[in-house]
This record gives sequence, structure tokens and C-alpha cells, in this order.
Amino acid sequence: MIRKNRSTRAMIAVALVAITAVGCSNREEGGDATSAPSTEEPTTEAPGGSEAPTTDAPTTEMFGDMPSPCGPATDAGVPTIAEGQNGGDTLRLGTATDHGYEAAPGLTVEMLDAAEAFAGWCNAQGGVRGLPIEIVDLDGKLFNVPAATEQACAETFAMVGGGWVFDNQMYPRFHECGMVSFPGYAVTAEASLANGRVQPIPNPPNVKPASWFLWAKQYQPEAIAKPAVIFGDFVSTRMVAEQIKATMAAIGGFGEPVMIPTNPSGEANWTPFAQRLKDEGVTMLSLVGEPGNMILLYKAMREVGYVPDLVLNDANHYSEQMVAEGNAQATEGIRVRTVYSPFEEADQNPALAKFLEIMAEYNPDGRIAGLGQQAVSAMLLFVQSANACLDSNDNVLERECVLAEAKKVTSWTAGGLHAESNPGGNEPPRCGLIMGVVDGTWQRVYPERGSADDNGNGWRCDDEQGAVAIEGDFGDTSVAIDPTRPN
Amino acid sequence: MQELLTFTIIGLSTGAIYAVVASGLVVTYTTSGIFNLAHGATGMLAAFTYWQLRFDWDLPAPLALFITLFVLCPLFGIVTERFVMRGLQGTTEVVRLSVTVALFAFMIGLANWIWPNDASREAFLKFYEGNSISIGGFNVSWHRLITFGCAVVVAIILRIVLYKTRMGVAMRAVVDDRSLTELNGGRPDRVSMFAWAMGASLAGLAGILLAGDQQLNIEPLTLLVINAYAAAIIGRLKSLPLTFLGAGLLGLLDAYYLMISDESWFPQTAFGFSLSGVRAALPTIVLFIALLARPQSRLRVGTAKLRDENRVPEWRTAIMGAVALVVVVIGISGMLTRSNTLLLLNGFTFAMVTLSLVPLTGYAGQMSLAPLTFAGLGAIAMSKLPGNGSLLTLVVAIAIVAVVGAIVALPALRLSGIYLALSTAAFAVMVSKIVFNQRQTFQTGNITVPVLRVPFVTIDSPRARLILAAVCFSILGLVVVAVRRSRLGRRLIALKDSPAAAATLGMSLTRTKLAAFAISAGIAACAGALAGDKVSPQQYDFTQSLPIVLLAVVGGVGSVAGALFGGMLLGGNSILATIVPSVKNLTKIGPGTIGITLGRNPQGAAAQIGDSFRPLIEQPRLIAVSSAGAVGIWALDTTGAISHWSFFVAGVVWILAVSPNLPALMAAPTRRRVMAGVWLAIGMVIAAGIDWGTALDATGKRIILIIALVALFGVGAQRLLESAPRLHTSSPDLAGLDREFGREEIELAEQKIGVVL
Repeated sequence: MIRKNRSTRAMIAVALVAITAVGCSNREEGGDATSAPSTEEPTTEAPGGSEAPTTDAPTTEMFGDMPSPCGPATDAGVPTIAEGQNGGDTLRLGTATDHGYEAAPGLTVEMLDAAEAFAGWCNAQGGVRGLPIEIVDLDGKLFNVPAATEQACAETFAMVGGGWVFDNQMYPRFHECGMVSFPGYAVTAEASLANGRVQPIPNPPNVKPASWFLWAKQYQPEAIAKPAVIFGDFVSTRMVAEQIKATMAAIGGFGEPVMIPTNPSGEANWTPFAQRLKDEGVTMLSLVGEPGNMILLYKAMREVGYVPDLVLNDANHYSEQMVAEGNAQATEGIRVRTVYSPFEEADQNPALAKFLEIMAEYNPDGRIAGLGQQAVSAMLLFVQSANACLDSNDNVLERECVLAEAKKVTSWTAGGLHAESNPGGNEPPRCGLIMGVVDGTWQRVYPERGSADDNGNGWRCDDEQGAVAIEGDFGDTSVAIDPTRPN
Repeated sequence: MQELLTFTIIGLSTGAIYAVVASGLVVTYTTSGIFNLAHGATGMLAAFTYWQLRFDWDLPAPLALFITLFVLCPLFGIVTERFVMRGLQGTTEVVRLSVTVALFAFMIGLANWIWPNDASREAFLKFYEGNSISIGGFNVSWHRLITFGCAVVVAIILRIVLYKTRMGVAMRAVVDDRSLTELNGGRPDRVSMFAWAMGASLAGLAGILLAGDQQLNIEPLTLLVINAYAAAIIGRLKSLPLTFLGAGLLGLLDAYYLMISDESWFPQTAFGFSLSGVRAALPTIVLFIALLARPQSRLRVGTAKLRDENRVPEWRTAIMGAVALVVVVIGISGMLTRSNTLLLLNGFTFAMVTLSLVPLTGYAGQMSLAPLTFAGLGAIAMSKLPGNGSLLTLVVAIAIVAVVGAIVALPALRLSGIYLALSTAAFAVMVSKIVFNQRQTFQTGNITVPVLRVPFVTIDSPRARLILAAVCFSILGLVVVAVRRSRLGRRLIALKDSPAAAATLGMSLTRTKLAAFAISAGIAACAGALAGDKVSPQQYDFTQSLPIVLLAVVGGVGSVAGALFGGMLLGGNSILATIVPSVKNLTKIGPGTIGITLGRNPQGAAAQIGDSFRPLIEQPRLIAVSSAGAVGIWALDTTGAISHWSFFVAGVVWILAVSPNLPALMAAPTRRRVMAGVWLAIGMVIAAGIDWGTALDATGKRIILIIALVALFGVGAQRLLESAPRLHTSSPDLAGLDREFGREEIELAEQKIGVVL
């Protein structure tokens, strides 16, 4: 169509030279292993997917403190998948990510990497009662969520372990094809409150985890007098900032937070924000947004010579970037709440050790991150619920039945991979822990293991105020609920 | 008082960042005459390179700086000038600007490819990070002082280079009048090369200084440059001192706004709308005002012949094309999965947005960088107006946005070329930050645009929506053709060819421009209003508009077919990446790479393809043969005689390899006709006879096969028929202008006017 003329060839040649020159930094992404399917061809199988062993030796494989739900066929034979639910020789599970978005390649690909590794591990044990798992790459590319949802409807039994940034765009399609979902994360209020889904660690807009603020109130009482929330000024992130404000109010004792919007496309200079925090005498800071921006703000605060007593952020700031060479000095002292077992404690946590082992063995090129833990937790919950469904449903796997079994799970830790949550009741964990950058590395700050505050095997739990109900305008969330389908 | 002083110093320090970027812009423009939208991207690439040398490979800073700024950057500038920009002489400003957009896309893709996002990579440190001095009670980092110092030193050196050296004088001369310089013994090519090398180094310096503040985040590194344009425009793209003043003004405005926005008297809302986005939009507001304060641009007299010239579409071709498009879409849509149907639907939405640029950019020669903004407004109107997606709602939505388009164009009427393009960019950013960011427009971050309700038909499936989109595109395409063939169309062309001549002849430039903007906004609004799905404001962001403009020009902004081609290329790029993951990295730089070749084919790809089909279209008998063949292949598929894949392969080979050769085949002497006919028949048998669905196991291989078959049999047959060369005839109005009269033409002319020698 377009003649490749000399200038094109020259550009490509220049590009190739440049790439060879920096070859060592060009890390292979792990997401390439599975190709998205075209119209007719079958999907590429996850590693190990094709060789489901038929030995009926009882499996002793564990995932943390939880016996592996995977295994060979029982006496009832290999399960069948209900009519019209994309059955076949394999159990096709779709993992949603946005890794194909051109402006941010590899967005959330960690979940796909972890799902593939999990499938490899599970299939090596025989799959789901002899039915091998095959991971389907549901790439929403940020703006192609409707098409990716159709792909899920056409090719998968269920959506497991993923998430899309614009996840509200999958409705009502999702309900129309009777899909079920076990998402790793949910972004929008609509998606968090929809039916047809069970999220291993729920994050509804109206019930917020609060153990981090409880910690602040108890241990840094002087800091909570003058909090501030800095957020990128999208409507959606503004809502998250409002939720933080409401959570503080629900717990009580916090001063009225200063709300500071920033340009979501980036700021030329973070110094004025640092200066404003100084002028207002802000004592506690929370930033809703990218960890990269937190680092820039930190450096600006150091320059201005004012850092609030407490900088306390949500779990996405528990990132390698915070402690990368050249950043750790600035971010010293940051506190981040998390409900996942921190990677620093892999030697003390069998579930986390298992996760890392599975990644190393079945997807060595894959990226390892907290999102991957979320994906594996969803996978485990799905397979466990699938087993329960097969027991009660004559060895036939059916979406609504798997969902109903998952809804019965009201206490879930994925073998100890994360704090206890209530997937069936769609409630966030009432437990948590605080990580911090101490001497340039991530370290556990609270609760100290084995101390009086550690009341949940390394977690600090609070049944009363560990999660609090808040009120707010979350928009019209009814669009994602199909009343004709069971909860 | 202390607060005011502190924020003044902060504002000036932000201004220093803008100053160093804006002075680079000014210098590139003064020395090359091209407004380089890729300036920021060049800086970003340089920052990454410096990081690689300095922090990853631990070279000493002076060595890393030397290699980046004095070896690699100039090399990059020289390569860009030699292989990209030099081919652009004689093209329109639109094409030139688009090529810099293409460079922008190419460089972002390249950076993403070479340096994939990696959280654990070492930080990009400022120079002397951690050191600062106290000025008026406020700590200013050494890095910021170095930034400011660099900006001043660079300005002084440039002043000397431009006005005191031979090379500088030559550079200015080349921008002023290239051919005159050449006549006087200058060497414009070499001078341009030097200018581009210098520009790239300046961009690199700005990128490295900026990265100290920004880290290696691709988006802010490139987009901050849009803000810096405001300063460059205040400097009228010429004066460095004024540019510095503008940069300082921008920084101060930002700092003071932040200082007072927390006061109790400061309005947080206006008429129920949140004002939180105003600060982010401040630089673009300044840009807009600075543009309006520019003196009326001198009317361009026009040139004899621009290289990108399009034919006037004929009704017959247009209607046939419209019908064929709908028929083909109906045929294909039955074979697609619902998911791929939606991806193709995206392609049509993009195609409608690119179509909105045809009357405005293609015909009237006015550049807009905000087509998606109008699409977003259309989507909001369709969703908020009563009627739940009725035809009337659609019409009202289009009308409203068309009026908005005209109103926006009103202040910008005095501007032309790049200034107009920038003012639309400023408008796009303002709308994104202030309008799309409200609960009243996009609620909590998305709205549902109802599916258009068409009488007697239910549009409920993706397939129905795809067919609806094809029908709508066809109708809009016919509207555009009608505009081109009307009185208004000729006015639009006149506006593009020579505004001065048009004004002299008494044509109202104002009314014509307004009409062009209104039509364009209306078409874009229609694309948005037909979304028929949930949409988010980010989909209509300014950054998303850039690829649309680029691909419109790549496809061929002068014709409806070009718009379709460009839109499909944009949609198809993502389809391609889905089905052939192995080319994923190539698709990152694909659109940019194609755009860079625009210098060779300024008319766009569709026009080139159109040229090879033109002899076919002129012969109804052969069109019938071609269509019958396509229907036959389709019938083979529906009856199950061949697989879907064989249908696809055979269909493409038939349309791209066989059909364009039909006219030559009919005209060729018997022996050649038989040879070529047999050759093409072999090709068709191979394409349709083998079940490619099972013979090849991956879609990527099948696509390579299709390309190989088309090349082998299409080009092969063309070679066999060589004795009947394809004639390229340009419009008779241009005979003698773009080339010398041929012998036959001279004879014909003499015959007509009765001169007998």
C-alpha cells in the first residue's frame, strides 16, 4: 500500500542501531506468551496447559496454609462445562488487563503474568479436577473495554484475576451474556457494587478499610490535626479523594482535610504544592495518584524544607520506585497501608513464598507485583468455588453455581497471601498493616510481629472500626446491576 | 508579604523550566521555519539516552552530557532533516505539521519500546541533587539555578550565532527565502541540516533539565511543551527576551493562582460547575489570549502548484463507493465475532472523526488539532438531550456542536496556519480540563450515549451498530462530496489555494471559514453522538486527537476515501496488534513511521491506491466483472465450499491484485493477455483453493501470506502487462504549471485555438 521508500528504511535502521545499543535494558515482557485469539483459532495455551497428568496420586501440594484446590480428575471423571458457557477440552478463564494501551504499554500486565503462572502450576497438578485451565488475554487497551467484554462473552467461561481501569464500560454487556467475574481489582463505583461478581478483596465505595487511619489516630495523634489530600483532578480520582475525607470523618478525631487538586497530566513544578503544605501547616498528607508524583512531591518538600509529620498513602504506593536508587533518600519516612503480605517477608510467609516460586517456575519472565497477588487470590477463590460447585452440581461446571459457592465464602486469606476479607459480603478487610521506607528500604512498621498489636497472624485487625461505612455521591451505580440475575 | 515573595520566587523558578523549553521552540522555528510539535519528544528521547549513559551505565556526567548533546542529538537532527524534512518542500503547512506529529508518535513509541516502564529503575537525579541555597527565605535548588542559567546562556549564545556568524545569517536567509539563498550561492540543504542539529541539541538540553524535575515520565516530558508554546507565542516565535518574559509570566500566574485558590473568598464553583480544573488550563488560556493578540496574519498569496492536489469527486464514484462500503460491511460483519465487530466499529468512529477534517483541512486548508473535542461534545449532547437517542436528538446535537464550532472559530479567524492549529489545541486542552471534568458532563467519569433509534429498524447487536456506522459514514461522506461540488466547496478550495486572491475577488473569507469550522464540528459531533456505548472523557483528550490528525493526513485528508483509510488504519492498528502479537512492538512505531514518509506521498495513501483503481472505475463493464468476482468468492464461502480464511485471502487477492489489473488486461495484446490472465488465475486458485485456516497455524503467518500473494501476483501481472503503462494525468488546469507541456498537448492546444504552423 505505502511504498517502503528509502527514508522509511533509514529510520528503521537508525531505530535498530539504537535498540541494539541499549539492548541490555530492553527487558522482555512476560505478557507475550498468550496471544489474544482471532476469530477462529484456539487460544495459545498457558504453559503446561496441554499436558494434564492423569495420575490419581493424591495431591499434597499446598498454597500457604491452604491445600491446593487443583488436582486430577476424581472418580466422577473429568468435569463438563454447562451448555452455552464456552465449554470444551479446557476451562477458559479470561484475565482482564489494559496492557495494550499504546501510551502506557504493559499497564497491569502483572495480573496476566500471575494468572498464567497460576494456570501452569494448577495444570501441572491436573488442572481443575482434570480440566486444564487456559488463560485468555482480555486486553481492554484502556478504551476498548466493550470489545474486550464481547471477547470474554464469546470465549471464556469466567473472568478471573484481572481488572480494567474503565471497568464500568463492561456493563450491561457483561450481564447480557450471563458472564461471571472474579476480578483482581475494581476501579469504579458501578463495578464494585455490581452483581454477577465476587471480588476476593472487595473495595466498595461505601465501605472503606480504615485500619490505617486507626493506626494514625492511635500512634501519631498529633499528626492528624491538620490533614491534606492531594489528588489528580479527574472526576474519578476526585471521588477517591472524597472517600478518604469521608473515612477520616467516620473515624473521628481528624481535622478537616485540605483538598488540593493537581493537573492530572502532570505538573511542571511541584514546589508550589510543597510550599502550600508548609504555609498551611499541614501535618498529615495523603496523595491519590501515581507513586511517581509522590516522589516528585517528596523531593520538592525536601527542597522547601518542610515534610508533614505523617505521609500516609494507599497500597499502590508500596512500589519499588519509592526505594529505587536516587529516590529512597527523599521518600524516607513514607507510610503505606497494605492488605497484602509484603514481599520483604517472603521467608516468613509460606503463601507468598509459594507465589514467588510459582512465578519463577511457570512464568520466569513475568512481572512480579502486588497486582499479581490479587490475581492469584482470585484464581484460588475461583478454583475452590469451582470444586464446591462440581460437588453439588453432578460434576457439571456452571457459572451461577460457581458464583453462588463463592458468595458463601465470608472469610478469605488465599492461604495467608493477604489479610482476611469477606468476599461473599463484599466487604473490605478489617485488618491491615503499615509498611514504611526505613533506612532506604521497605520495612514493616506496624504491627510488630508477635506484639500485642498483632492480633491476626501479622495483621492488625479491628472488628468495630477496621472498615467503616461512609456516605457520598457515587453516581448512578444501578446501571451495573441486573436485578434478574442472582446477587 | 513573605508569602507573596515566596510564591514569586517559586513562580520564577517554574518560569525557568518553561523558558528553556520555549527558547528551543523559538530557535527551531527561526532557523528551520518548521513548527516542530515533536520538540518535546526529542527532548524526552535525549533525557532517556542521558539516563542510560549517566545512571544505568554510570558514565561521568560531563562525558554523558557531551555524548548526548554534542554527538547523538545533532546526529538525530541531521538524520531527521536529511531523510524526513527535506522531502517536505512544496507541501502544505498541514502536511509539514503532520509530519512533526508523526515524528512525535514515532519517538514516543520508540522510547516505550526501548525503555519499557520499570518501577525499579534508577532515578533520574537533578544536577547536584540535595543542594540548595536560600533566597528570600525560600530554598532554591542548584538544579533550578542551573536551569535558569542554561536558559540565559543559551539565549545569549544564540543571539550571537544568529546575528554575528555567517552560518546564523545563512540560517535566517534560508527560512526567509530558500531559493533566493540558493541563487546567491548559499547551500540551503547544509544550512538546514545545521539548524536541525542545533535544534535537536537544544531540545535535548531542555529534556535533560526537565527530567531532573519530572523523572522519566513520557507524558509530562512531552506535553509540558504545549504549555511552553504559550511563552513562545508571547515571544512571537522570534524574540527570545519576550519569550523569557512570557515564561516568567506563566510561572508567576500558576504560583499566584495556587497561592490564592485556598482563600475563603476564592470561588470554588461557578453556576454549580467546579473550577478545580482552571489552574491546569491556565497556560492554554494564556496561549489562546496570546494568539488572539497577534496581529492579523498576512493573507497568503498562494503558490502555483502544491504537491498535494486532489481530484474533484464525481457523483457516480461517490455513490458507488458509498453503496459498496455498506454492502461490503454487511457482507463481512456476518463473519466477525462480536468483539472484532466492536473493534471495527471503533475504526468507523475514528473514520467519521477524520472525515470531519476533510472539509476543514483537506478542502479549506485550515488546521484543527481538536477534532475529538467536538466528538466529545457531541457525545455529551446526545446523552444529555431528551429523546433517548432519537433522530431528532442527533440532529439537534449536531446543530448545537456545529454552532459551538463556529463560535470557537470566531476569535481564531484572524489566524492561519500553525497559529490556528495552536489555538485549536489550546481550545481542546481547555475543554478537557474544564468542561469534561464536571459531574454535570461526564458524571463520575463516564456517560452512556444512547444508540441511535432509527425508525422501523432495531439496532441492538454490535453487528447492527456496525452497519449503522457504515451507513452513517457513507451518508456523511456524500454530504462532504456535496459540499465539495457546491459553490461553498469551490470557495473552500479558493480559501486554501490563495486567500489573497479570494479576498480580492470579493469572497468573504470570514463566512467561508466559519462554514468550514461549523461543518467540521458537526461531522465530528455526529461521530461522538453515534458512540452508542459508555464513553469516558479521556477518550476525547487532546492527546488522542493528535493521532487522528496524523492518520487523516496519512490516509489523505483531501478525500473521503482518505478519511476512511486513515480511520481504519487507526482502528486497524489496534486490531492488528490484537491478532498478531508478534508485531506489537512494530505497531507502536507504525503510525509514526508511515507518517514520516508523507514527504514522499503528500496526498496520502488512499489517493495512491485510488490512482491504481482509477482506470477500473472508469469502465462500468469492468466494475461489474470485479464486483461479480467478489460476490462469487463470497458465495463460495457462504455455501461452505471454502473456509472463512480462504475467503479472506482470496477476497483480498481479488480486490488488490486482480481488479486493478483488469483494464490493462483487457487492453493488452493477446499473448500478454493470456500470460497475465493465467498468472492471475494461478494466484486466485492458490488463494481460494487451499484452506489457509488449517494450512497455516497463526494469523500473523496468514497476513504475511496475503501480502506475499498480492505482491507476487499483482505486481507480477502488472509487469507482464507492462506495454500498457498506467497513465497519470493531473487536472488540465495545471498543465504547464507542474511540468512542461508535452508534445501532444502542444499540438492539441494549437489545434484548439486554430494556430497552424
